[in-house]
Amino acid sequence: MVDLSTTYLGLKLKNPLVASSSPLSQKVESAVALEKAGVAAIIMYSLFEEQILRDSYKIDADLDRGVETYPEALTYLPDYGQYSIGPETYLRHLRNLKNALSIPVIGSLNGVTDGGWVEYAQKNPGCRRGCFGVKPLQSGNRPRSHLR
Amino acid sequence: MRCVFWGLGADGTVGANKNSIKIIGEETDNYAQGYYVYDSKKSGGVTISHLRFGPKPIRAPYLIDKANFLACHQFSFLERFDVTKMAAPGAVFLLNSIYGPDEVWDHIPQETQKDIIEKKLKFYVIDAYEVARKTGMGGRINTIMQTCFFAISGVLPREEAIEQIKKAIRKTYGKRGEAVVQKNFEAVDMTLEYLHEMKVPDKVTSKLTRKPPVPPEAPEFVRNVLGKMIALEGDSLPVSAFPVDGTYPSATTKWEKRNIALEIPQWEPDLCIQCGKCAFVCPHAVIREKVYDPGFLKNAPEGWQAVDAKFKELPGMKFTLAIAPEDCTGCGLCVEACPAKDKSQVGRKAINMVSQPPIRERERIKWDYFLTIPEVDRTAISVRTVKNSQLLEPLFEFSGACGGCGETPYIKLLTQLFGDRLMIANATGCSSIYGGNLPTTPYAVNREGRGPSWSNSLFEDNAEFGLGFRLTLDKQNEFARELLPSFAGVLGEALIDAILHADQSTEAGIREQRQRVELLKQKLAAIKTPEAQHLLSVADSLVRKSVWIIGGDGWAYDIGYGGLDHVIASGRNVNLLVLDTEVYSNIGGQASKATPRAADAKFAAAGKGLAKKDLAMMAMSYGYVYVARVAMGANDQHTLTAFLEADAYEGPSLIIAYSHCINHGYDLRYGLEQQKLAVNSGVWPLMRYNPLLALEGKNPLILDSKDPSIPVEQYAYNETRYKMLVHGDEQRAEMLIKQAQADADRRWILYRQMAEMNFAAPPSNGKGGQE
Repeated sequence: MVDLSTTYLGLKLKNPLVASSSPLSQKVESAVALEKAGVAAIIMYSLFEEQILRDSYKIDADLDRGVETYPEALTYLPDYGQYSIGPETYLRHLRNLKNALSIPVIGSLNGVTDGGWVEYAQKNPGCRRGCFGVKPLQSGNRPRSHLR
Repeated sequence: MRCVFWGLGADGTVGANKNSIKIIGEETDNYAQGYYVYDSKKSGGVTISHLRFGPKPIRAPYLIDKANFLACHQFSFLERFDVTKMAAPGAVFLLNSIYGPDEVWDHIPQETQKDIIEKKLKFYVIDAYEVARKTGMGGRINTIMQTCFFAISGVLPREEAIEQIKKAIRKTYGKRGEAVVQKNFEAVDMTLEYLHEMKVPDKVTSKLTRKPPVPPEAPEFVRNVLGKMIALEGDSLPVSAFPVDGTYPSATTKWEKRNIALEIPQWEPDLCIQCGKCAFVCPHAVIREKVYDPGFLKNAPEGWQAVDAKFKELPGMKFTLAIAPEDCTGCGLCVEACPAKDKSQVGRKAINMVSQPPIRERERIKWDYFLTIPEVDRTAISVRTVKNSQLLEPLFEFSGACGGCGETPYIKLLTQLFGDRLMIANATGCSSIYGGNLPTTPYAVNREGRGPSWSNSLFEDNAEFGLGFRLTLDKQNEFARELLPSFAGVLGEALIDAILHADQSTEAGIREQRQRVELLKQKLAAIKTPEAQHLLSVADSLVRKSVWIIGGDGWAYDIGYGGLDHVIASGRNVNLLVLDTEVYSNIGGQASKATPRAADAKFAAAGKGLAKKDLAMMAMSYGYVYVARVAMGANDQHTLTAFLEADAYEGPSLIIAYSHCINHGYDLRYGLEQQKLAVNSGVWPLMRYNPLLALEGKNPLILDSKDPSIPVEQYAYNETRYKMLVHGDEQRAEMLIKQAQADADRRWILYRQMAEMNFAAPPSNGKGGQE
């Protein structure tokens, strides 16, 4: 059999077929199907920095809307005191994919602030078979390094 | 140290002051005390914080009247209130000003300038809104003004104060994400650049004067009593000033020009299709329409806009859509409701939001002229369409409800349809606060001086309270009918016969009956027998009244449910309107039995684990109750039809109205869109159950919305009440939203099956229809 192995971003792949960033990586079952179909690596659906910022600003605005105005209702929503606003859900899914697959899984970050993505990439230090691809969207964004 | 802070509700002033107390109380050797005075208005209210700090224990259980630090966080307050009255001589006066240090002095009213000069106040200004805008803080100026306070007051060394403020920011906002913390930090860091100490001129130069709380043409009671309360001087009123029986005049919100909107809608006549949708949804009745004789154009003020009216019943007339510029809250619902778009300019509609201050005076003059134009003749049009309904005068206006409130448009519609013969029993809750709270009353009167009568009762007895209205009216009507024939000789048989057999099913019929009853009363007044006086005292009950029992879901589903059930079971002709926000809105969003599964609410903070009670289904089980579930944002015509059918039905009617609410956690400008999504997802199926149809052999249940077309999640996760659980406990959120989807699916299938049942041949063989 012809040896199709290659390397990509320093990762050794059994062949050059990589499933690119798409909704197919949103479910573990479909990612497993991709592996069974022969892909050598999967790039996860993208995590947008704007999504995280938007969630953060929205919950802040919504929890504060109308508060401390009217004496019988100083607040309008219960406040949990802690919210997992950020990449936690994405990273948890990355870990689930890693556990279910034997091929490399590459996270995909879209950053809009200078260096803002580093914080999110560093939140998964235990990742050994995966890496993060970084997609700067504007010329002003200068990712400093790729994380593995 | 005695400090007083004037804030605009929801600008964060009170929250920042609470933090300042914690900082000073915990980080210095000082004692600290805070009292907070709030407003009864739910939009644009005033807050006044009274803070004391000092090295000795503070024994002062009363508000401050001589502050040595006075801050006004809202510039427009200077026009309405004597803000510096509470400043001690030599005090600091910090003003948040939209005008820069070079121009601010001339924008301050003469009275305040005089006070600043005479008391030798140390005057500081900052444009906190500019700092907030530049740092992405929106309208929240709390940390900015707090930074100014610490920088000027010197309670703590400046560097230490800033460190403590940032510590408090991290503690308060850290859980909402680092981005939120950072933007607050930026605001703190930028503040001092914008803070200026002013050199106070030695003479008064302003051309402006403080405005009286109500205009001089207001009635005496409004000027002397309500005006004092509006100016926040109600505590100085003697007890003798108040009405002895607790009744207050209605139609008084129109005197209280609050000017709380930074932006208001502006009409574009060239695009308008005269559909009435903007006026239909306006929560504060600031958008009005009139169709009138072209002769009124002659004396119209500058800038008046008019087009040919497009109403087939009213040919040759002009049409104008007017906006009350000083009463609008700037919610933007009207713009979202407008279907008329400019094809040549993206985003331009027939109604658009524009800055209020530059057009305020011009629009105020136009509004005043608009009010002088007569209302449309109610008998000349059919009120069965949304378009026509908005030509009817609303008799509920300018309430203190939240900007974008989802409840008040329903009440406004009621007053348009039945206003001058409407009697409302109102349960405690939001609708009793914005409906009948001091100092002003939003329920209004028409040119004949007629308007809704309204009273508030408790959560637990409001339905019975309203039933009492009905029983009283019925008994009075019965007594009048008994007495009438005995006056045949004096009044004439024709008049008596016409009164007793009047058709009052239309506006024209009601007007004719009113004229007959007026004639009857005139004739009876001249007859001095006890029987005539008895008949005179109950004659008004011969005109058909519309009794409505109104409240929220806390009343209807929970605390007042026993009464509601009792009243609909009575079979009497009452109408019950449930303004369903799915929580106890007025007291801050506690869960009720109307709260849907998966939504967060107080007392259901991990997401409610049980499904919403189906009140409509319970009421339908009687078979003789008219029931409707409506959502005007999804189908305004359906709402209108249901209201008319409920009024016309000579038995109990129950309408459950989807009411978007500040407790749902999103910008209420998009409330109508959320209503559509609620219907499209099957969460809120539109329906009517009309018992009269069963008498005709038809199925009484009509499903008025189509099969669900989107998942529940697509509706729910636009609202923080649902979404916050995803951020708090993702697994539980996932489980609950799946169950909520199943709830919606099951209910839809059940309703559909019921609506498809054949009522043509009811079982009559004693075996339930089985052979």
